[in-house]
Amino acid sequence: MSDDKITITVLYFASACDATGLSSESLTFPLPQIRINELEDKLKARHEKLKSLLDVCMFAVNMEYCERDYIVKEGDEVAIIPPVSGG
Amino acid sequence: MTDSPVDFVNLTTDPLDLQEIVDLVKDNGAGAISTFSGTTRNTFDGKTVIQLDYEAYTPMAVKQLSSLIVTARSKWSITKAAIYHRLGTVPVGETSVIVAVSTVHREESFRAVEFLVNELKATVPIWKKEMYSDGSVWKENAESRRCCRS
Repeated sequence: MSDDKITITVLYFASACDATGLSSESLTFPLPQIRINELEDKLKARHEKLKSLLDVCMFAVNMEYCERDYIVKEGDEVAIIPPVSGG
Repeated sequence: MTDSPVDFVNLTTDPLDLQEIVDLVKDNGAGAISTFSGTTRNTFDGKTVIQLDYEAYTPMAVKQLSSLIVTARSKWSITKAAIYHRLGTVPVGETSVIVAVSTVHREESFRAVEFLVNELKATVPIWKKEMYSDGSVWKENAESRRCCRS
């Protein structure tokens, strides 16, 4: 287990899936951990079409909603949750 | 029979059968069963909807729906509860969601069903795409929980 890099899985659903053309991707960062708002900035830089969408999305880590100051760690599953429309 | 399951959560591509779900929550100790059925509409803003597609973050949606029932149980005395949501393509006019709750008396079943439907629409990671003759759009529930960043 290395201290200086983490690999996480990012899941994209609905409009986020359309915007990225991906349902998921594995990302590695040369950091021991990353905060959600830092990850958000990196995802915006990585996927042009996510820029405005991410502002209204929720994030969930390991299937629990979290705030933007939540800290993501090695192996976490981070889901981008666009506004929901079930029912 | 204390060991029979009392909560039923399911996301399925199969058509939903109201009677089947009512039967799941039926209990000789419960005098009331309330249900909510959501059906797919054929128009939005004057545009004709040809077809609807639902997708979910399934493991999280199941986990959240189960935890909503736990929360409802802390508020009302629920005998049995079921939440079924359809996924995949749902033709116009068919049922996309059914919530059913049995309780000893009727008032609690009304309240619990309303709570479960409202929370489902606000927080559970399920999405609906409407297809029109000239394109498609991912819908957003007015009550959907969103990021509060301005």
